[in-house]
Amino acid sequence: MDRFFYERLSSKPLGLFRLLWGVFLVFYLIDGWWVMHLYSGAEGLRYQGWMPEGRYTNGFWSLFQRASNGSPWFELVYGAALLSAVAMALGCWVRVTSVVAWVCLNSLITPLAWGFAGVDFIVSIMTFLMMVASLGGHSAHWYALRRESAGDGTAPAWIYRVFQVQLCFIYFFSGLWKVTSDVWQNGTAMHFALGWTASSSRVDFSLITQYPAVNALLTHGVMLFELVVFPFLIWFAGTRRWVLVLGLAFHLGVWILMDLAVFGGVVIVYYVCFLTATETAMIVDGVLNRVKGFKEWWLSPVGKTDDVK
Amino acid sequence: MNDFKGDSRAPKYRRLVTGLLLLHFGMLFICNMPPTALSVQLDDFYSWYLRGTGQWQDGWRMFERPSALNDYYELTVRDVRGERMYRVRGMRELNLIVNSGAYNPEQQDEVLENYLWRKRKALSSDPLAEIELRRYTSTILLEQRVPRRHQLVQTWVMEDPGLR
Repeated sequence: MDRFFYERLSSKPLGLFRLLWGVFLVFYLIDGWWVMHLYSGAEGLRYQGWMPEGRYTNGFWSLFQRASNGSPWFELVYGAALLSAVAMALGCWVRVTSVVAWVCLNSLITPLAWGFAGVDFIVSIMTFLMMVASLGGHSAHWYALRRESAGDGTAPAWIYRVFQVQLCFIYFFSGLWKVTSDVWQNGTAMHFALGWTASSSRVDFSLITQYPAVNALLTHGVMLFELVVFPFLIWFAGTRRWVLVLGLAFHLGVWILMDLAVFGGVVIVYYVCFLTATETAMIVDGVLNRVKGFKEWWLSPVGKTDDVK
Repeated sequence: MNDFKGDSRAPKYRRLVTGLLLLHFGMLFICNMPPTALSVQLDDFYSWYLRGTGQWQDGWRMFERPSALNDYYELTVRDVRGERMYRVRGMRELNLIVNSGAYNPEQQDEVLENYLWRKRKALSSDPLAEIELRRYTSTILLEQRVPRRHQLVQTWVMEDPGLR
């Protein structure tokens, strides 16, 4: 237990995770602006008295609870959330921005009733965990990506564990509920999902529905991945990379099939928590080298390039 | 995942953090489990923490029972530029339309009116533009070989947007 929570791990993956999380939040806020405005902006649903029961009771809260129609609260909260996301990506004032992001995003997400998506659950959860991690951990690790001299370049493992265990719970319980459903048990669930060709599907895979055996294989494959493969095999060094690659393929498949870009995006960002320092360095160096190469190509005089010769 | 290097913090601090983490994970586990007589009894003790911190989650039931309806929604805008049609494709937008009647079916028209008012502003600069939302449906059958024809089943119209 002591090792699981307190061994010192390199903070490089955490630095990359913080950067990507900030970038993702900017994307998420821009993508969700219309639905947040629909509820809490001017003439929003919450001012019309149409909020479903329970959105502001039993402990749920939002800064908009006492806002009145036409007040500038929405613009202020939305703007603060966006700024905190940018600051998070840049690694500026991470402790302060993590608190601002949690307060503002929780306020924007809580009122969403219709139009609420699984990604909102994850964002709400992650902003809180990010705040706990940045307040409870050492501030230096958040800058480790570029400034290792700010600390010893390590962070306690529990910071990683809160994110990792949460993602395992998401997969495991998603699989557990599927097991209780007859269409997942009898292997026909994917027949219906692949049949949604009219609106949510990006590519028409309905041809597969004509092959029940393939449908059953896909259905049980998804269930197996969610229930066993990810939540359990991710913890073993020998299988971890394979699970991450499989997960990446799984979410890319869902993205192609169902246009769940935001959901797939947040889960893939989440995967960074499972990377090692070496893997993170490989990714960062790979991206930096490409950027450097592009910059050199862009700035090189046209007459001196090999192509022109 | 990395080389182990022990934390030099005091044992008392480590015990406290371990206890809090286990409590947190325990609450998440109970919250996500299918409800039982025991978990319902425990709800009152921890739900305030999970709801107040934005951690509330009830089982991740996405696609627990995939719908057998292959619906689509179409927006029609009529303004000075003529008539244009758009198919609603974003998952969140579809989610809003489909679930707008979930809590209280009587509110569905009002919620969709607010949605249409915003869509009209986004899709047309003409203040007198008319916007219409149509729902087409067809059922997915297990034995089907050819996709079934879609049928128009519902229409919401916003003819007079008013001042708003």
